[in-house]
Amino acid sequence: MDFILDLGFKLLIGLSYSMMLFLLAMGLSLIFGLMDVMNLTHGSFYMFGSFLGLTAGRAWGGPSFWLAVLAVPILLGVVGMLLETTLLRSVYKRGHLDQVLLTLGLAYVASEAAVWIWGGGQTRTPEPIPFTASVDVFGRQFPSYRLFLIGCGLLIALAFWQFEKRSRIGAIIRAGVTDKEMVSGLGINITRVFTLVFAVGVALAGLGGVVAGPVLGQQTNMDLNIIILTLIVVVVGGLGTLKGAFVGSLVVGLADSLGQVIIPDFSNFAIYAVMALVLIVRPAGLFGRPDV
Amino acid sequence: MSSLSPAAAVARPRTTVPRWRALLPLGLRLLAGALLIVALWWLPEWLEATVPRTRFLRETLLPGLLVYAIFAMSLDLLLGYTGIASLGHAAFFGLGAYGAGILATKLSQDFLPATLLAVVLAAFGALLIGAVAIRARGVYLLMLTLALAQVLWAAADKAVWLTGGSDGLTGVPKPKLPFLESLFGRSLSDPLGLYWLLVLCFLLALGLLVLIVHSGFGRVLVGIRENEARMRAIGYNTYAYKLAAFVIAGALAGLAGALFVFTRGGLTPQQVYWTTSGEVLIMVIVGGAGTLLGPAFGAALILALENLTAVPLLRELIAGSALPEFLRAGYQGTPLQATVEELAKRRLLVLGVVFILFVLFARQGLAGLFRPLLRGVWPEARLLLAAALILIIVAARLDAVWLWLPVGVLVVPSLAWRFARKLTRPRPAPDPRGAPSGSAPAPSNEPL
Repeated sequence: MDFILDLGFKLLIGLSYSMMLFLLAMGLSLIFGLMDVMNLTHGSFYMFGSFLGLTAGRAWGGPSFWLAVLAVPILLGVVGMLLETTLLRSVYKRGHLDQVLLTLGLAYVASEAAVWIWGGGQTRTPEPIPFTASVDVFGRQFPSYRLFLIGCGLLIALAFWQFEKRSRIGAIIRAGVTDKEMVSGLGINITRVFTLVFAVGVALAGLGGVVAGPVLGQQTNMDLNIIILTLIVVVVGGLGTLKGAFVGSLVVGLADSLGQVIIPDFSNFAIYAVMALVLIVRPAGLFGRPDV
Repeated sequence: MSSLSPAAAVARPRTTVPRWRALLPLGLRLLAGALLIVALWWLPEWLEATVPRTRFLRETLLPGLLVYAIFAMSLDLLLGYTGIASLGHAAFFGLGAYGAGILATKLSQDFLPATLLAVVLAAFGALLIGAVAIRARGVYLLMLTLALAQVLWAAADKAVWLTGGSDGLTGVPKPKLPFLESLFGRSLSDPLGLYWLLVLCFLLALGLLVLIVHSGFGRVLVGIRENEARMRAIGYNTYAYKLAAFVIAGALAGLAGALFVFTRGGLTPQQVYWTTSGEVLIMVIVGGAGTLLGPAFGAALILALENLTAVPLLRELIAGSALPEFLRAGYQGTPLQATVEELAKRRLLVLGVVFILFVLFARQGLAGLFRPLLRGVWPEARLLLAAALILIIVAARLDAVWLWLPVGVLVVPSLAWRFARKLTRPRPAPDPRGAPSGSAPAPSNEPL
């Protein structure tokens, strides 16, 4: 019985972790699926979001944190739009290797900039009011902030799912993932749609950084660690679909937290095992199309 | 240097050039090879003369450079020639390193059995991982190789009784190889003797890759990179070819791993972690994927950027180098030095900016940087250039100032003249078949 309760508790923790991953994976999956661009700066946006949230959260406690939740995505979205239109666009046609080198270079510069501005070391954003306390779940203390994260993630997933399903831009994105030449042949400016997707994607990564700050904190190399995790999520789910990003986040987040209960010795390895299994059975992820 | 661009020599129409000129590419290759060997032979002594106090450079960094050069070249067979982007190459490096290291520690210090075991283990690992991984493609393949390599990392991390766990394998003895030791006149526990062994292995690996790339098998790999569906339609079993490339690359990485464990005297699971795979991937891209020596130079550049940016080392290098006095005076104690040392502390910034500059200004990495330099010049002039470089190195080596004379009198003006003529003549239209322009006169006797 105790084991079951422990499992349920870890399940909730894993669920909140999944929702943070989802905020990052959604943007990366669409960026990758739509334009076939390997974007390693995604983790840098997460890192900047996290640090900006830290600064705001330390300023006057709760209220300024919620200000960061609103302002940081807008700010980083604009930065992302500038980055996409000036630098990234020039390497779309030059293959993944050049994209990896360019975006990794940018990520390194961003990482150094963050150390320069905020200094190194481990920090953690203070939990904002009204989510500072814990609530009683399964007879244990569960941080209420994590409950907020779960709700927040589900809400955003629902909103974007409906947006992708019903709106005109959503239809263009779905069509673009399948065949972007055909979409631009129909007279749609796919370049502009992509700039929009990129900006929204990195804005969500920034939001993910802000809201993950009170749970995961800030450390050196956080940008590269999160980008690998996000890539795992994206690949498990399959490129270019919201559904894939959502299910991928659930699989990876739960594998991570359940792994700590079931195989504590190999916990940091559980997600790799899950990814290997998924890709061996389905070489294009759970919801990806094999030919894309 | 022409060995950087194997395709250029192959694509040249041979029927129309005079016989003596048809031999030029071969001569150039031999010269480039000679140049490489002279440079490798000379480097340790140059370092000893320049930075006598820092043993790190000639006993750790320089051997490490050769090891990583082999490692990067092996990955390039996959990434550059076959078009398989693997983020798990460190697994084979690690298999080789652990295999050789454990055998040397527990059983025998002989170099050959340990290295053979390393290569066989790595090839076997590559066979298993490759058989599963190459069914996926693109980023899926990248992440699948990452996941499978992490399995090995977890095993190395947990199997404490065999691998030493996260503390790593320590106290691996220096290898023994009596035949070579008597040939070199030096024991392999002497850093210089070990260095020469590494040079030998590097040249062997390079030679093997040259043979592979220019063989029919290598051509099929390039065909798979360019258009796998078409190769399959012609009738090639592309899966088997890709798997074979994976196994060869893995075996070479295993060799690099064995050499690594012998030069460092140990290794930690960190060497098997995905960051090592990522690092070597970046070396290949920076050096130029799809070129033979490019990745080796990429490895050298990345390792130099990562290791030489320590401030005390930087100071010693500048103080000990053979720079003219006025240059040194213009650097030491000036704001320039302060800026350089400030930058040296921000290693990631330097690396990042270098990566960005490479993407923006040097397509195909370091090899791509060399190519326009060489392509604009006539083959004869390239020969002169290589000869001049050899003369310069030999002159510096022997302290023979008079050897500079032929360089100055003959080579420089003739090169300048060639360049001037090249620049003033209108450029020929680019050849639609992709043959390099300016390397040879266009064939004029094509059947009408």
